[in-house]
Amino acid sequence: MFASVFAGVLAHPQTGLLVPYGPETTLGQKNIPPFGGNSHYLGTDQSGHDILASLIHGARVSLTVGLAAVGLAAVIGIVVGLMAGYWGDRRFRMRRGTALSVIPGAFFGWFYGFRLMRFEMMDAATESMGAFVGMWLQGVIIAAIIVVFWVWLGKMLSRGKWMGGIIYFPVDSLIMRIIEVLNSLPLLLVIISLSAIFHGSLWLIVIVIGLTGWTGLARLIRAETLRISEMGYVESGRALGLGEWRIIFTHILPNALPPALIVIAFGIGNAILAESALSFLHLVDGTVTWGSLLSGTRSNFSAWWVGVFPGMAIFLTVLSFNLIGEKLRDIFDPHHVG
Amino acid sequence: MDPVANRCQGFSEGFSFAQVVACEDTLRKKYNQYLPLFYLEVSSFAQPDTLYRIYPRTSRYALARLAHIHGSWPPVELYYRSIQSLYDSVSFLPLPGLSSDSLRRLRTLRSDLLRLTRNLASQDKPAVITLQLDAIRQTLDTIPAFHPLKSSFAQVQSSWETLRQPASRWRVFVPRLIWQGTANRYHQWLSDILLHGDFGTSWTHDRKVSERIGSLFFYSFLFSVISVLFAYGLGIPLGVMAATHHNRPADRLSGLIVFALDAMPSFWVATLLLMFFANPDRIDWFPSSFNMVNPQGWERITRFVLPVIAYTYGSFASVSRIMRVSMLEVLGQDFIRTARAKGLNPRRVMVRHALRNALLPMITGFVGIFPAVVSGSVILENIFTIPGMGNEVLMAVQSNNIPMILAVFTLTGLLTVTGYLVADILYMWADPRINFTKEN
Repeated sequence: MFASVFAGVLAHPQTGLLVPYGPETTLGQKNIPPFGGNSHYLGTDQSGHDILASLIHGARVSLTVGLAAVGLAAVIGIVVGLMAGYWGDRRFRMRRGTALSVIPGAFFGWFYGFRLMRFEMMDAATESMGAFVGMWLQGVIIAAIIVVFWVWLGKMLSRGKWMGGIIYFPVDSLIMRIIEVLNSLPLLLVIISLSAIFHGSLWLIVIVIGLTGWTGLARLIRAETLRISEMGYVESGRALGLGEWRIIFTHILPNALPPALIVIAFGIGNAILAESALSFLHLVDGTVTWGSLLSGTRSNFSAWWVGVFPGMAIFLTVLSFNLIGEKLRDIFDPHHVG
Repeated sequence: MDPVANRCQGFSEGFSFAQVVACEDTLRKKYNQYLPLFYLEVSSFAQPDTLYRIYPRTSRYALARLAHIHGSWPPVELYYRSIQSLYDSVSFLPLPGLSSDSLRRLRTLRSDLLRLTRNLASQDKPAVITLQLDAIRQTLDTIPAFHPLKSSFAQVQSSWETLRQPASRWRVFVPRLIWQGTANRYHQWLSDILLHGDFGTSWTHDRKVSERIGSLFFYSFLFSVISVLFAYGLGIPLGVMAATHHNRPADRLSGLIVFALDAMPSFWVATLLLMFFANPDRIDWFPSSFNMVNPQGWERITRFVLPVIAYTYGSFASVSRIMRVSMLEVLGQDFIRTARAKGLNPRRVMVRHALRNALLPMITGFVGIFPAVVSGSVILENIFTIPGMGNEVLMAVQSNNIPMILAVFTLTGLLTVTGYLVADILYMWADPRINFTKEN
């Protein structure tokens, strides 16, 4: 089942391997029923697009969106979860002077890295995704340099008596509050609103789903990290004087990751569902997707094949990812009943 | 995409520009749109502190950008004012008494000129602006009737030339924090809610958002409740059945069905239901739209059938899965074995001992209906044309009706938090072992 989807991606119409039509090729013959012995194996829709070609194209879109969005969510969720679990509320400490200087540092970093560049960034965003990411990375680098400078200034400041006092930064509480706020929002509505406000291109959908879908993973990783941090080998690593980052990334992360894979597999299915829901509501611009194909059926109920096949494609893909998740659960979570 | 501009659009035919502006002006004043967004604003010394008053937003963006390129605001303002006065003189230009044919031609030319001038205020690329200025100058040169406009156009051109001279750009690099005080839109919005429970007025029609929500609330609520009742009423028995027949064919089969149902997108199922059961060409048992003008007899009930199926099957699947897992967990515990060992009636063990404990995790899902009531199901309400919150939110999002969107988000968040609280209280009531007063 899953292999067939990937086979579909490989047989993309541009290669002309399986179907001699592109997804946007408008053919003269409209509403041809499927399996009719002609080269439109799955028929054509009311505007004369070949269904199979569109399905294959849609497979590429859906898988890209699903994998990219969940990839983004996974990176955020893992980093945030590790931070919350490892540092907790009493572990992330800094001198008062440093903490105070980080505030203007962050402000100036944001101002010179992002605010000052906002027009250029808008241009880059309308130009191409790559240009935008480039501008954004440039902003990050500028901001980082400024923050580092202010932190250094803060270190100088911390030589004073009061400034040298140690304060704790409640990483865990802060992150958990953010997660709770995100969880209390209706996620599909958030995604719909954002993609309507910013006129959703596919990449925007990826970013929105990625930025909103990390909370479950972060909670899981946090719980795992809390559990693993108590383990003997972490303790001994600390006793040996290993650096914090080394402990986090080489000792805690590899052990926390397997259960996270279950959540990630289910997440891909959900992301694909969300994306097709959005394109079903015509909130995604541009390309042909399974959702947009399916929505075409609403104006014409007699062409059953336009409704059945794209939905079947979504269903089978989501089912495959759920199956993968289920199998992973069997492997990594043997105590789970069922 | 600006709802206010959309509503005043109807004025532009047969009304003067001044009337359109006046229409937008009254609406914007009414909706607080001339106020700054927040207490604090970050800006630079190249930008004015009242930029938020400029509408449309495309002009605001373009002017801010010109100020960013040039380095200071006053020349930009001069340029903007000169465009506005050119616009006014174009729209109030007395057309000479001519034969009706050439008069009509002149009118078209004038509206073209108006469009060009209005467009000019939303341009931020110097090259594009120069091109447009050239186009306007050509029109003015070739049509004798437009010659009186030349003086206002000369002002636009000279102010643009000033803008082209690069001033010192240092102001752009100096951040400025502007304190806007309590006369800002966030403060107004929040105090209206906290003091009067008022979520503002809808931007697309002059109705109170809270009234609108009140009138649309009913069907979203109805479908949420019905779907939860069905999902729990069918899902719990199925889950229990699967758990008691663990790893036997009945369990395998129900597991397979539930797993497949879980992966089906609801909008697909809804479309298929409509396609096959509400289609005059196939089976025409049910109406294809829920929102009927005047439902007669059976239609009053049959119109509910397809939506309820589409609403229910997904949550039914997840309810029965959770129930099965939770039941299996309880069944594996010692006290069940003890109860069986002491020879209790197996039925009694199931109902009194296992089921009671296994039902606890279901509470969490049950409180989830509160927030769902407000935001509704966007897709299903759209497909079945149910006049509920979901459809309204979708329309609000598509027409940028911000007060409505904010109200729905706020209420949903509030109800989610309330739902968590209710769940905790229910847990405590249902399971005396849980005690929140002690810190663990």
